[in-house]
This record gives sequence, C-alpha cells and structure tokens, in this order.
Amino acid sequence: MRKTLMILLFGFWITSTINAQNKQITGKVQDDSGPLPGVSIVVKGTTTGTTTDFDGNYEISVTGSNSVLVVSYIGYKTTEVQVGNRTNIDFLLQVDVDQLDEVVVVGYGSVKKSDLTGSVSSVSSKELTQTPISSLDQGLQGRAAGVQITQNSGAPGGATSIVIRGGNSLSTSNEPLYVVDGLPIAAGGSAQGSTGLLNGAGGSFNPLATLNPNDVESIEILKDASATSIYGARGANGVVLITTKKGREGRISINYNSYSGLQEVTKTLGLLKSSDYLELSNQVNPGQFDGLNIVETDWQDEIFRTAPIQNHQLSFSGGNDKSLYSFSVDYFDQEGIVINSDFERISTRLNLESKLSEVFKLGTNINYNYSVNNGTISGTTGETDQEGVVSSALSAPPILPAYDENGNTTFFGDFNPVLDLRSNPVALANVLNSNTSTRFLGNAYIEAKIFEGFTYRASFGVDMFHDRRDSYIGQSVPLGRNNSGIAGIGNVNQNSTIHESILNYQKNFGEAHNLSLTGVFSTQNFVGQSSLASGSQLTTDLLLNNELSLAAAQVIDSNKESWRLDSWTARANYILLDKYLFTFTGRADGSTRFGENNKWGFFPSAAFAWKIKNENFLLNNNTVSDLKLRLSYGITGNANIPLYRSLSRLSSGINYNFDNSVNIGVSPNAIANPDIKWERTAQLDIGLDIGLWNERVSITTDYYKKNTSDLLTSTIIPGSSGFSTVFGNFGEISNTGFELGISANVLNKGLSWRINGNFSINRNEVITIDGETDEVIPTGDGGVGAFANASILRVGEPVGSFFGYINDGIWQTTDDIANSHMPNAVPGDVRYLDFNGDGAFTAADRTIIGDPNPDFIFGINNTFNFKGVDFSFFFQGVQGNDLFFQRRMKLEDATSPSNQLDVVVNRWRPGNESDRYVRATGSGRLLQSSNFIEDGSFIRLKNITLGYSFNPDFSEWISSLRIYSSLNNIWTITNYSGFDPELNTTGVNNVTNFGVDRDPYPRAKSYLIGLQVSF
Amino acid sequence: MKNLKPLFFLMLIGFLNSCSDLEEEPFSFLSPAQFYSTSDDAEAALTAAYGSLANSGIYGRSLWMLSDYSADQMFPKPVVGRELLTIFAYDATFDQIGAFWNESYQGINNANQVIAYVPDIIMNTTRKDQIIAEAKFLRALYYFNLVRNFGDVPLKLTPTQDLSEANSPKSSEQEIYDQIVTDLTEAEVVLTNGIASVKGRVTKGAASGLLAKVYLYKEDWNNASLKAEEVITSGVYELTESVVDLWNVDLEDENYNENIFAVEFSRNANLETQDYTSFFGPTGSAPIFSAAAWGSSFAYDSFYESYNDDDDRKGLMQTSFTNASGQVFNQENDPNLLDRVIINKFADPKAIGGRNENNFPILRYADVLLIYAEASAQASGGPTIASYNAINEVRNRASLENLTPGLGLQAFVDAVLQERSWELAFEADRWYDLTRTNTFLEVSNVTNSWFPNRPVQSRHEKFPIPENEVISNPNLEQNPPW
Repeated sequence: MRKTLMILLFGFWITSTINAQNKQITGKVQDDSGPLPGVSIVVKGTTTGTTTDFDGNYEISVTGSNSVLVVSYIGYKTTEVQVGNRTNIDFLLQVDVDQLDEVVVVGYGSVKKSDLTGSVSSVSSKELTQTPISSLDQGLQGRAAGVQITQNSGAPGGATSIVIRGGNSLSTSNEPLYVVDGLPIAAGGSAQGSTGLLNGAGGSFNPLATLNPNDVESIEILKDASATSIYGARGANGVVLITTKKGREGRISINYNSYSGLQEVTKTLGLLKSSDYLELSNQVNPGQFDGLNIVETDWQDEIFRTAPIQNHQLSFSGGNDKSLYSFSVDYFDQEGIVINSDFERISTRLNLESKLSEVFKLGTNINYNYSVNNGTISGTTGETDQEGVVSSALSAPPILPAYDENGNTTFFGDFNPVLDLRSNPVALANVLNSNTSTRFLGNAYIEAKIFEGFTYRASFGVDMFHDRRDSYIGQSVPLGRNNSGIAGIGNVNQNSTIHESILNYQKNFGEAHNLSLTGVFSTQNFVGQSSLASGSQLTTDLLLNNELSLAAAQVIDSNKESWRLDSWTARANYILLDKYLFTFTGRADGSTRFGENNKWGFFPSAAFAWKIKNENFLLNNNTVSDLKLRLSYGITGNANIPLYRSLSRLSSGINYNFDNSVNIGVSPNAIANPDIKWERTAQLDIGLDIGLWNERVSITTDYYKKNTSDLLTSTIIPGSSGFSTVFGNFGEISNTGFELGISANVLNKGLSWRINGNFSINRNEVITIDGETDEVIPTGDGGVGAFANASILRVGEPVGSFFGYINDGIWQTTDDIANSHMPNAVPGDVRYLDFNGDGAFTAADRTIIGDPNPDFIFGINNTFNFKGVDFSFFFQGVQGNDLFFQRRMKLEDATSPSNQLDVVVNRWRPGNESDRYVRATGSGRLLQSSNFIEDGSFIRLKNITLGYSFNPDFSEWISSLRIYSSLNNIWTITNYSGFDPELNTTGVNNVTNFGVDRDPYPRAKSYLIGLQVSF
Repeated sequence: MKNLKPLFFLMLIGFLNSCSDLEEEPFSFLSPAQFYSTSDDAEAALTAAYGSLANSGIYGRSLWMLSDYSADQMFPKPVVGRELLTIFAYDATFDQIGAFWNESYQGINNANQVIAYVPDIIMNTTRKDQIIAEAKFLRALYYFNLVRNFGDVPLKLTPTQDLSEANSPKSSEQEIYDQIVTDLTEAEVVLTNGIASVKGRVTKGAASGLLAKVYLYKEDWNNASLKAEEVITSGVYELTESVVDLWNVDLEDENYNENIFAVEFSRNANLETQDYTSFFGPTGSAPIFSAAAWGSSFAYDSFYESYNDDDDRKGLMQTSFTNASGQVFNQENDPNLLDRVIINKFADPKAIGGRNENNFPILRYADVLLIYAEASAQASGGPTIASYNAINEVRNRASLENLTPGLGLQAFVDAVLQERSWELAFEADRWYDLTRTNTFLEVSNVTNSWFPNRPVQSRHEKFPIPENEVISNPNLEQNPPW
C-alpha cells in the first residue's frame, strides 16, 4: 500500500500537462480467470477514482488524452496507461509475483523487502483482525514465526504475554518494545487495587488493549540483531513496529466495518453433585451439614453466561497532492463470559500529512482512547479466603443456593461457620473491580528535504496514560464482611515525551553502488505517578467507593518515579551490484536506570545478505524466483531494569506501635549496586529466503542463537549483612531456535487458494544463575494452603522447569508403610517417590517434573476465494509443553468443605482401593507433584470465516459491500483437563510460574456476523 | 538553505533536553545521604530497629514456631512444612530458619544505623542518649535470640554500607554473649526507671531483666540473681492479680506492671498487627478466638494434663468450644480436635479478619521472679527463703499452694523449670530452657496420634545456619553437626 502511495506521489511530479477536455472512459478489468470486482482505478495526479463493479466494469471521467489511469488491486501488479484517444480501455492484470518489492518498515525508516538483511516478520491488518480481538497482541497469535503469544486468561481486556525467540530475561520484562508510528510506547500498567484485591497479573488488564487493532495498517516484528540493534538497550526482546492507516491520494473513502456476535464458555469442569459432596463431607466431618436444606447448585452455570461482543468502526480517508488524511472512530464492546466482566473501548485516530513546499512536509498522528474494563477478581494464591471468581465456583459447596428468597446472594458462613471464609461465587463476581483508562498518543513531525537524497526529520511525541481503578468489596463476601467493606480508588498517571532527530541520506554511485545512511538522536523522558486511597470498616455498602471518608480505617499510598533515555544511533546500508547487501548499525544508549559505573551502553550489529538469485547462474532459472542468504550478528540490550535499583535506598515500612499508634520507621531496604546495567544479548542469525515458481511459493527460514549474559537477577548475599539479596547482572541463558515461514498460492485460477504457515522451535537453557548457586528452588508456602511457586531455575535446564515430588501412586496397606520412607503415612495417602533413595521422604526428593517450554509452535491459515466468496480457516498450535494444574491440587484432595472434581467419587477407601485418588481427610493437603503436570499441547481452530462480497452495482454510492460470518475458538484438540491449555495465570512476565494454572478464566468461543461497506 | 533555520531550533530543543546528566532522581524514597540529620530521623531509624521484632520472621511467627513447635507444649497442624520442626525433619533450607536469621540481622542492621549515625545528629542530648540506649537493648535482644538458636554467629556492630562488608565470619558464643552484656549494661544506665511512659518503649527494668536472663543462660548465677533482684527491689513491677486478666486482650494497657517488655501489636488498620492468634482458633470457631480461625496450633494433651486442676493457668487452654450457632465441638465429636487442646492464652474475640491485638511477651515480671528463684538457689548452693518467695509468688498468683519447702538444689531447680514451663507456656521460652539444661532430648517422649514419632537428636540443640548464608558467605561455615 505504501508502494501505491509512492507511485501516486511520483506520478504527481511527472504529470505536468493538464488538459481541460473531459471525457468518459469505460472498460473492464480482469485477470486470467475472469473479471475482477473492486479494482481501484485512479486518474493519476488527481482525486478522481473509482472501483470496478461485480463484473469488472468501470467508468471514469478524465480531463484529457494525457491523463494516465492507474489500476491497482491487492495481489496484482499495478498498471498505468495513458488514455490517448481511447474511450474504452480494458485491463488484464497480472498477478504480482514480485512481492519482494513490498516495502517493509524497519526502525527509523523502511526498506524494500528484497533489500532486507535482517529477520523481520510482517503481519497485515487483514490477518490481524481476522478474529475478533480486544487487543492487537492477540491478533498476532500464530501469525509470525518465532513469536509465542499466550493469552494469560480468557478475560476481556486480559493481558497477553509475548515472547519473541524465547525468553531472555529472568527478572525483568520479556515483552518486546512496541513502537507505534515511530513512538516507543513507554507507559502502561494497571492502577493499584485496594487491600484484598489480588492483582493477579493473569487477570490484570492489558495496556496494549487501549489501542484499536482496526487502525493498524501493518505490524512488523523485528527479530534478529541486525533489525533490533537500532533500538539498542531496548531491542533484546525484539521490537514490534505498529504502523497505522494513513490517507491515500484520491477521493474520500468512507468505510464502515462492524461485527457482532455471541460468546460462550468452551468447556466446564465436572464437579461433585450435592449427594456426592455430602457423602464426602460426612466422611470427613460427620454431620457437618445436618439440618441444612440441601439444594443442587451448578456454580459454573451461575457465573458463566452467553455474552455479546460487538465492534463498529467508521473511517474516512483520502487526500490530494498536498495533504493526506485518515480519521477513524471505533467502538468495541465485549461482555465477558463470566458475569459482571466486560471490556468497552472508544477510540479515535487522526493521521495527517501535509506538504508545505518542495522542501518541507508536516504531519501528525493522534490517537485517543478511552476504555473501561470490569474485571473479575482473580485469586492466585490458593488460600481459601482469596479465591478468584472462577476458582470459587469450582470449590463452592453445590448444596447451597446462590440466592436467598429475596433474590440477594447468600452468605455461606450463615449456613455453617466452617464456610466463614468462603465466598459465594456470584457475590464475588459482583464485587466492583473496574479499570477506566485513557491514553493519548500523539506524534508531530516535520521533514525537510535538504538536498536530493538527504532528509532531516524532527519528531516530537507524547504518550499520556491514565488509569483509574475503582474497587469495592462489600459485606456480601467474607473479605468485605470481616473488614466491614473495603473500598479503594487507585490512580496511575504516566507521561512519556520523546524527541527524535533523524537524518537520512541515500545515493546511488553508478549502477553498482547504493548507499543509505541513517543517523538518529533521540531522548525520551518518562514520569510516572501512582496513588491509592483505600479504606475499610465502612458504615454502609451503599456508597461503594464514592465516599471514602466513611471508612474508619484508611490507607493511603503514593509513588513517583522517572527515567530518561538518551540515544545516538547510526546505520549504514550498502548494496553492491544488487547482489551483496551490508548493514552496519550502532546505537549508544545512556539511561538513568543504569548504575553510575555503567551509564552508557553501546550496541553494534553487522549483517550481510547475498541475493544469490541475482547471480548469473540463477538469473534465468525458472524454478527459483528468489534466493537470498542472510547473516547477522549483533548485540542488543534489555534495559527494563526496575527503577532506582542501583542506589542504596532507605524506605519506610518497618513500622512499630508506640502508645497504640503507628510510628513510621525508616530503614535501609536495599544495598547499593553501582554496576547495574542492561542485560546483554548477543545474537547470531542465519536466514534463507527462497521463492519458487514465480513466487507461488515463498519460504523464509532462520536459525538463530542468542546468548544473554549480565542477566538481572537477585542473588543471595549473606543475611548477616542485614540484607538478604542484591540485585545485579549475574545470570546467563541461551536460546537457540529455528523458524520457518511458508506462503503458497496453491491455486490462482478462478478459485484461488492461499496458504500461510509458520513453524518455530526454540530451546532455552540456563547457563549460570548468579555465579553462586546452581539452582534456585521455588519458594512459597507462605500461608496456610497457599500455592508455592512452581518453577526451579537450574543450570543446564530450561527456564521455568517445574519442580516437585514424583507421584508413585497411593499407599495401600499398613504393611507397605511400615519400614518405608514415609512411616507416618496412612493407607490412602499419596505415595511419593523416594527420589534420592536415602530411605526418608524429605524435601530433597523433589526433582524436575515438567517443562513449560513447547517443543514447537505453529500457525496455518488457508484462504480461498471464488468469485465474490471468500473462505478461510486458521489453525494455531503449541506442541510438547507441560502445564502445572495447581488448582487441581485443591480439587482432588478429597477434603471438605471445598467441592471436588467428580472423579473424587473414586477416591481410596477400604473396598475401593484407588491407586489414583487419595482417601478423604480433614486436612488433605497434596504436595506439588508430577500428578498435576499435564501435557499442554493443543491444536486450535481459531477461526473460520465465510464471506461474500456483493456486486455493488445495485447502488450508486456503495463501492464495496462484504458480509461475513466467523466462528472462533470453536474446536481445540488437547489432553489438558482444565478449562483451556492456553494459560499463564500468574502474570505476563513471570518466568517462575509460567504455565501454571491457578485461577483460570476460561476461553470463549464466539459466533460473529460482520459487515464491511465502503462508500 | 535559509529556510532550514527553524529546523536548527528544533534540534536545539532536543539537545537541550539531554544536557542534564543521567543521574537518577529519587522521589519516593530516601537516600542515606539525605537522612540521619534531625531528631525525627533518629526516631524513625529507631522505630525501624523496634519494627523488626514484629516481623513474621521473628516474634510475628518464626521465632515462636522454631522454639515452641520443637518443644513439649505445642504442636502445629501438619501442613505447609511447619511439622518439620515437630518431627525434627528440617534442614538448613527450612524457610522459617532463614526468615528468622535474615530478619534478626535486618533488625541488628537497623539498630546499628542508630548506634552509628545518631551520635552525630544535633538534638536534645538526653533523648539522643536514650535513643542510642534503646537501640543497644534491641541489638542485644536480637543477638540473644540468635545465639540461643544458632550458637556461634557473625557479630556485626556497624551498619553494612556496601557489598564488600557483607561477608562476616562467625564469632564465638562467648564473644556474642560478652557483647550482649556490654550493650545491656550500657543501656541500663541510660534508660529511665519505671513503667514506660510511652507504651512499647524499652525501660531500665527491661534492660536489667533481660541482662538477668542472659546471665542465667551463661550460668553466671551471681550476676543473674543480682540483676533479677534489682528488678524485684526496684518496686516498679508486680504480678497482675489474676492470670485471666493478665491474658485478657482488652486489659493489655493495664498489664504493663507485669509485662516489662512485649512486642506491640494491634488489630486496628494502619497499625502493625499479627496473625499468630489466628493459629490458635480451631476451624469453625471464629470469632471466639479470632475472626480468622485457622486451627494451626494446639497443645499436647500431656501438657494440658500436667497442670494441677486448681491451676488458673490450666484455664488458658480448653478441650472444647461452642460455636456461634451453639454447637459444641470437643475431642470426641470433632476429628479436628482429636488429641488437640485449644490454646486460648492469646485469644482476640474482637479481631478484624486475621488482624489481632495480642502483644507478644518478651519479658514478664513472672519470668524475672523465676530467674531469681533459679539463679539465687544456684548461687547459694540451695534455695534461700527469697528463692522460695519468688517462685511462690508466681504459684500463688495461679492459685497454687506454696512449693514443698526444704527441697535440695536440684529438686528446687527442677521445680522452677517446671514452673517456668507452666507459667511461660507458648511464649517462645520452653525450648531454650530445655536446651540450656540439656534436657531437650526428652521431647521425643512427648507424642500423640498426630505426631507418633519425634526423633530428636543431639544436633537439634541448635538450628543449622540457613543454607543461603552458608552458600553466599565464604567466611562462614555451617554448624558442625549439620
């Protein structure tokens, strides 16, 4: 599309004569297989344009015989014809096999795809928005090789974790850098909730969700060092460049896109029914629920619902030779499949560019978003009184009613004090927990052509983000009742400003040499402020959090932080004989985050590509239409160092009560480490791009090896110093992988069939942790019944390996137990393997029991077109990863009063000696063991779309009209026993609990119908 | 090129922005260079030295868990690894040991900040000296707990400024005790006599009383008896008349006459609180013992039965409870109460969730009396009249008869130790009596159906140094039996 724009601009310059005679031209546009509807025909250098009708016919008015018609259609070569004396001009469009001429956006510029030396994946807006998504990161899932995207939960607006080419970092973010129209997004984050609201990151809200995916023209994912080192200290996790839709020269184009549909839960879990529940309960605590009026409540039914989703977007774009504009407004509304959860967004975007003179060009990209996310409470700790909505629906006693005779939710403790700490899931779902966010993302630039080939561009950008979190936990749930209500208002205000000065120089020296140089200076400032006002012991629930002075106990908190990043960047691209391509990049980054001994880092890279196709021996080969070898090596950094970590810090917090009132204590809470710096990733990439049979098949493969050293981790220091850890650059990990991307036009006559697929393998290994220890054993077990952390860091093993005991069945007889390694066991207890064989069952018997890293991931999209009908289906899959279903530890421990999975009816008891399910006990705590590790592999049919484009002949003013219907997430093949195998309950960047299922929010399947009209 | 001028201005704006250096500007925390300059700073630094006492690694949880779950009075619910203490299956990686170690040294570092930096602050010198004396008392208390649990430990007397000062070698038990005595002796002369005018503050009586206890552990009977006598004769303290009132959480403010020094907790929001009270209420009992009742700590039947039925202190335990709906749960009808005796000594019926009010006693006048009884008897080669008076004061308060007169030294000391067990039950004291008298191996006989087997060995006299300390500190070795 950029190409079209350039041609149009170029066309403007060369068209010098304007003839004043109007005449009508008619004709037909077709390809080898027949007429092409919807083809764009523009009179060069004017705003006059039209599109072909359903039969490929067009009619256009031109001003004279010198007029040039430009005929363009996606996937076909653009054709130009001078009108001359003709009044009827037919076009036979050629399929554009030379897609290599596509322009790809790279850092601080763009290059022809054929001239790329680095590894860059592109995702078009069409692919991105094929499925209904609340956030564009979700749309990338399965679309690009080497990019693993996990939607942490199915909640609307929920966060996603994106890892490009394997995780580089243990303690800081593995998220890539997002750059929207040149503006690196710095802000984002959810405001604090009040006490008792666990900010389970898996359920937390996603700052990227504030961008409207429908505004996106294309996304480029920069993966290797050649592409990313231009982002220096922020490039190590990869870079996602987001380009929004710009206006195009021609008459105004008005588009209305809309879809709406319904979502449902994909799966529910089988739980004990009331009778089985009572039987278990009576076995554990006989007579516990005697005298209660027993009902049969399906709590999952109570909290899940069929939920509507809808999106409406109206956009206007167009322009002339001086100015281009694009404006859009979008409304997205997704109700969650759990009651009282939803996400709503209104967004607007305005992109303008205006040519002031032959020298100057001005432009601006402005984006404003408003979103409201009503989130469910997620519980990740496993403690009974801190369960989330979904986990409480799994553990709630089925014998109790959801509502009382007045229609209010029941309070479980009223039925039996033993249930005092358990929430009625419906009441918990109705707790107020809402995020309201606004984001202003604006960028203004001026570009000057100083002389031919030499431009200077100055841009000024601002990213302003505000989030407000409203919460109220009322008397209807135990936490609220015990505290007489907990109310909170949290605020986050983040402002980031950036200036960039970019110099570009491009020159051809004769036929053989092409040189382009880029120099950038940039400085970015960030200031973040947050505050929380919260209180408990309110006299009434009625005013929610709107009158905090009602709270007898009040808690306030505030925080301010800032950082700055100054950067100098240079890049040289040199092309020799259109065969040998060289790219050298260097960036120096100075950041306030770095310790005083390491304020500046330098990040160089070099790349070489060889267009083998252009060598004589291949030039005339008809099979191989493209062959390019790419090599790159470079250094990038990850500067997502938590702020102020290099300084010695005093903080308040160790307070003490004197005279029954609190006195604030100030004490050291961190020891200085003036050496703190970025994490350093050295990456080697070898890639091969292959095109066959006139680009009917194109293949991109890459092998990479990344070594990340100076990993930021906390290392233990002697506790006798008064500090137990210090934060610094200690660890080292490596990632090695292989990527394959294939696209093929299987059929392109009449019926067209196109396949896009990608496949990635990544292997990850911990090389050193902190130089002191060979392993970091997961900690946890802080509270009664709390989940412990699941993952161990061990040298030589993949990051995130699950750690625990090996389950060896169930103890059957006292004879087995006597003289065994578990002398205190009772028949019916779990038998854990004495792994180290020392005859005793101890913590030393734990070992690695699973690996959450997949063997490979893939995505395959098939698109068919025939006449006006389009049909596509998209599979996405993950293979060979383990999941740790921690929640199941609570669902089959055969205790009471937590409800259990229905399989617990098969529990061990005399006469039914199960070797799988433990006996009923009062305290039935199960240890983290291999029993809860499950295969997380899945293949998901993410999307099927069937669409029909009408012949727009029936109306004067409609230029295209398509209706479609799509089904999403309707079929998933997996052995995982939980709601859904795609999960990451404990948070976006949590390498210590990746793939742990604690409090799932099930995925929704959805059925949509949509409409796209252009005027 | 003339028309390019505006561009250069734009470039200038950009560059100006970057002219400042890349120093990190702190907003929401203090750097050491900014602090320790006013009397308020001195008080805040001292508050943090107190504050570590209340942390979950010390009196908030770990300290009493380590000692009381090992001893013969109280046992945990066998979950989340706490039972490792009771069955002596822990090792150097046990988290409670690490938490206790780290937070004790954090408290010491906090106290060291005060001792090192407060002398240079210009402020009222009387208060300044008191602040330093309070910090010395606290440092001594942290070390006393460390040495009782681990034996030889690193002796840090100055703040840790940077990583090069992090690797301290062990000092001998003797050196640690000497420093404790020095700190307490120096504190004692500065601190004011009388019940603290600001509740929760250290007093002269606390320093003298703790010194007496330290001498007792050193078996320096003369000094122990002398210091205990000073506290007794000071006339400041007396026993609360009724044991029930003493442990009534609503009467805490009236009981400073006996509670010489305790960790202050509050159920009120914003104040420092504790959740250990919630360990004692059996499941389903809320809010009798606490609004959160976790059923995580119970007394052994054998300990309960060891009390004379007349003993008021037996009433600090109970074998059944009646819940809010009037149902009675006891050892027979509730499997959760089987072989378990409920401890109500620390009950807080007005608790807010897991936030409880009960202070944790560190030094009580009853303890001082018993120290005196034991030390004076030892010092004189047999109990004196004063020794008898001291123990009888404690017994009589609990409605017990006087101790049999005319006991020999050993029989008298045994009686004092038994009295200490009854009087100071569940106060993180019993295990150290057992280890200092080398009788801790006898806890293997204290079993029940929850813990039928308690294979205590001689190495359990002291806990292992936490694994993390051993790994990261090249100058320190693990305690030999470990």
